[in-house]
Amino acid sequence: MLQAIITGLLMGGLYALIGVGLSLIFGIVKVTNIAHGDLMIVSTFFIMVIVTKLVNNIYLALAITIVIMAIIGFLIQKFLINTVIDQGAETAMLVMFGLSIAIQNALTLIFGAGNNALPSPVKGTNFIKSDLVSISGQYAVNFIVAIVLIVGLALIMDKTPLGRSIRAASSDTMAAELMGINTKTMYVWAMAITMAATAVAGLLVGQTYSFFPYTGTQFLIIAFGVVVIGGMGSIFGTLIGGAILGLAQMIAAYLFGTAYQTLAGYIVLLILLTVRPQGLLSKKVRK
Amino acid sequence: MSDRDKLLEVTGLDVFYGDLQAIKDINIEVHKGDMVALIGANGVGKSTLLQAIMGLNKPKNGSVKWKGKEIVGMTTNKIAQLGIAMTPEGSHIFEDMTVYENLLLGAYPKHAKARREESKALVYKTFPALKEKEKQLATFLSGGQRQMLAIARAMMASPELIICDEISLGLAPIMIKDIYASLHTINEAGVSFLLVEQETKRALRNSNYAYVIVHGQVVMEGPSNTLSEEKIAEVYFGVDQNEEKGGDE
Repeated sequence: MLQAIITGLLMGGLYALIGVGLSLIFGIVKVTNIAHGDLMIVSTFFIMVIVTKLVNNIYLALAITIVIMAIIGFLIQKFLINTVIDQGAETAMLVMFGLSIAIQNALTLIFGAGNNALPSPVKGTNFIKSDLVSISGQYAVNFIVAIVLIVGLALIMDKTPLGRSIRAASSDTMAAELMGINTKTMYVWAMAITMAATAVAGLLVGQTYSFFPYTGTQFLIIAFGVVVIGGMGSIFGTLIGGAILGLAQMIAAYLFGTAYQTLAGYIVLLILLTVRPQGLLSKKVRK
Repeated sequence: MSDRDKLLEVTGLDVFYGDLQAIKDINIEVHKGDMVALIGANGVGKSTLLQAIMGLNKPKNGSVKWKGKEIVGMTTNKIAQLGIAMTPEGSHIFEDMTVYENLLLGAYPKHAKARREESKALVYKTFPALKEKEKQLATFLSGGQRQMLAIARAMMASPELIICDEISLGLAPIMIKDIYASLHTINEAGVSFLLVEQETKRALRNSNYAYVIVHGQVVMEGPSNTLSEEKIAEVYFGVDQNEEKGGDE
């Protein structure tokens, strides 16, 4: 049981990192980014190609991918979402749905439908190994990186002038424009930052699980779970959401067998939607 | 009024909401040092006019010039960078940020950033209550303090013109008096004002020039000390009675 709780919490860290991008974009741009999981898998594939064809160092490959993803985020926001956002969030969501399908098909065309994996320096190592509990090196790395990155994102949003302007644009668009803030440019920045963080999630996911062009949908569902539990738009809520989702899955697997792992996640989600539909730490949104 | 130091000039402005014409052929001017009032009942198009000036809606015809330069068609954030600040109706302060963060955001335009400390000192001198609440979230401010913060935030932009939409709405009379007193202080420091005010007497007392707007049109204008409450009331009721006889709505 202790093992299940610890593994669940550690998994929750990675889940939170997968969810934080979805939450940020929902909180700031007010758009549900249906393509979030696919964009994360795109970064996983980028890292794979770069590390096998260009540089022989996974961290250098990650650094390059972070830049590429930030640029992709910039382009998506500027030329896709910003051009339709005045027609409402639903239109933007449909555009992202289209992008999701396009990404999945493009990836299948290029890489085929087979499984892939990213190399990891900590693969097969153990962070802690004892009779009581053992933690794999990968899970430990995932957890630490996720926490650091999420706290970092929160600090950017909370303490920097850019973060302040982004928050102003999201909390009251008209007032922000009256301050001289170009709100659409703020959305572009937010998406670029989010996609850069998503690239890191893409690396960890690729090192932890096998992936293929359609994996994105699976992770979108995890991200949804995290964000709905934690509260749409709340950065620290994703940490709680991730922890609850990870714990529910691991405890269910321990008690009833691994077949119930995914189901348990959805049951927790359903209970929470009934009891507290706005999520645990939701932010008030005013247009 | 002479042509010297003309800041804002609105000519022949028409704004439509769908088929409905909200304002019709409006002409107004604001000169340096002015406190200009727009007087009119609820829903006559005063706010629509202010929004059109700030680029928040798109006029069908007419022009808005800032220091001789056409600004119709510019985005709101660009217009704000020119030195025009606006306190919108209902204050629209950033609720989930501190008073201080709100002020920092007010100083967002480039020219304002350079003068941030100077502006802040002036703001705290004008509104000492805000200095005490500097670290509090704006959402916990009282109604009067919210309007003070909205004005203070506009001051932080070191603007040449501040446009105030219904700054006295819902406030206690004593608070309204304080707020208008502070507007005069700011005005004496060289900032011009364009005020929307529902109460005629208050509008006339706090301006040097006034426009009376009825059904989207300017029906009367002149130096505030030449307009009287009675005359303006006559215009209001005259039009209202015609409207009733016409019965077209």
